[in-house]
Amino acid sequence: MNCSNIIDWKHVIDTLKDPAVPAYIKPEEWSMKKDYNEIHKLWMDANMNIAGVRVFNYEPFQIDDNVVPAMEKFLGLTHVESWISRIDPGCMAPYHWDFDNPAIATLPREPKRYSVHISEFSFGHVFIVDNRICYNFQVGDIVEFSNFREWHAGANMGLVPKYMYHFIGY
Amino acid sequence: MSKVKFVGNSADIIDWNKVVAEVIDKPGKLVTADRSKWKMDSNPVYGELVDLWERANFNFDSIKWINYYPGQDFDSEVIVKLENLLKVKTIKVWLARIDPGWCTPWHWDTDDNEEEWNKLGNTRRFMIFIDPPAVGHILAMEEQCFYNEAIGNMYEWSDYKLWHAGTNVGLTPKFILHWMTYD
Repeated sequence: MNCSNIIDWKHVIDTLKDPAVPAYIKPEEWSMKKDYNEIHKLWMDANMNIAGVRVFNYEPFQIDDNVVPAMEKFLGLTHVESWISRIDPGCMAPYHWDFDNPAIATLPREPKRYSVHISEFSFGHVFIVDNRICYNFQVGDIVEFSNFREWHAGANMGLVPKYMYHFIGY
Repeated sequence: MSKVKFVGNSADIIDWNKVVAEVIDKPGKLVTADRSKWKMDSNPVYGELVDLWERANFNFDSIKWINYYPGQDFDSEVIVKLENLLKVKTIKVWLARIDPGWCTPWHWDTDDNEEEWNKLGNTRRFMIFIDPPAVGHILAMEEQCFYNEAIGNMYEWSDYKLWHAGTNVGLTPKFILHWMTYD
C-alpha cells in the first residue's frame, strides 16, 4: 500500500510544529511503567548503548490537521493514536513495541497499527518489523503490523533525518 | 543490477560458531570516531569521512565497532579454507563486531595500501555473515540491505569502494567477516 497520492508528505514534514518530544532518553523514568521496564531490562541485559538510542516524536497537534482524516479514510479505521517519529543520523530506536495509550484498553476491538515512510529514502534509513526489513522504500509506502504490539526497530546510519508516520486505529 | 552478488554458503566447511566463540571475549581492536586515533595525515579519506559525518550532525556517541584479525584473534586456518573455496589470495581480513546500540556510519573502506593492492592483480572484495540470523542485525550497502542472512552466506562486492553502513538495533553482538582478496 502507498498513500503518497492522498497526502503530500513533504508538506507535512515541512510544516511540523516544533519542538519534537524526545523519546527513550531517560531510562531511569521507565520503571514507573511495568511494560517499559520490561523493554528497558531487555536492553540493559543486552548491554545496549543507550547513547545511541534517540528518537524525536511529534504528536497529532503538531502535525497538519488533514493527515488524520485522510489516513482514517484511506485505511478505513477510526483514529486512536498517531505520531511522527524522527530519527537523526547516528540514532536508533532498538527493538521494542509501543503501548502507552490507555485508551487502547477501552476499544471495542483490538486496533491495527500502520507505519508510513514519509521522507525520501536515503542510504542508511532502515525499519524492521519482526523479521521483515524496509529499505529502499518509496515515500508513502505503508507497513502493516501483524498486531499493534508487534516488536519493531528503526535506525539511521545515513546522513539526513528519517521521518515516519505511525497510526493506530480500529 | 545488484552491486553485491551472492557467491555461496561456507557453513559446511567452516564452523563459524566456533570462530565467534574464539573472539567474543577478546578486546580486539576498538574503532571509534576519535580523530586522534585515525591516520589523518597519511590518508585524507579518513578526514573526509569524519567531516561528512560532522556535517550531517551524526551522533558520534553511537559510533563504535571492534575488529578481530586471523592469527591474532582467531584461527587463520579459516582463511586458508576460504581461499581454497573461492580460489583467491588474501590481501586483508577483518572480522567486524557491532554490539547492541552501536553503528558504523555511512562510509567506504579506505586503506593506506590501496595502490599496492592494485598492483597485485584483480582485487575482489567479499563479506561473510558468520552468526545466525538475529533481530536487529543490519548491513546496508547503497540500495541493498542485508537482514536475516543465513550463517555462512558469502557475498562479493562489485567494487571494494562501495559505500555501506552497519547497525545493531538488536540484543546480541553482530559479526561479519570482511575479506579483501585478489586473483
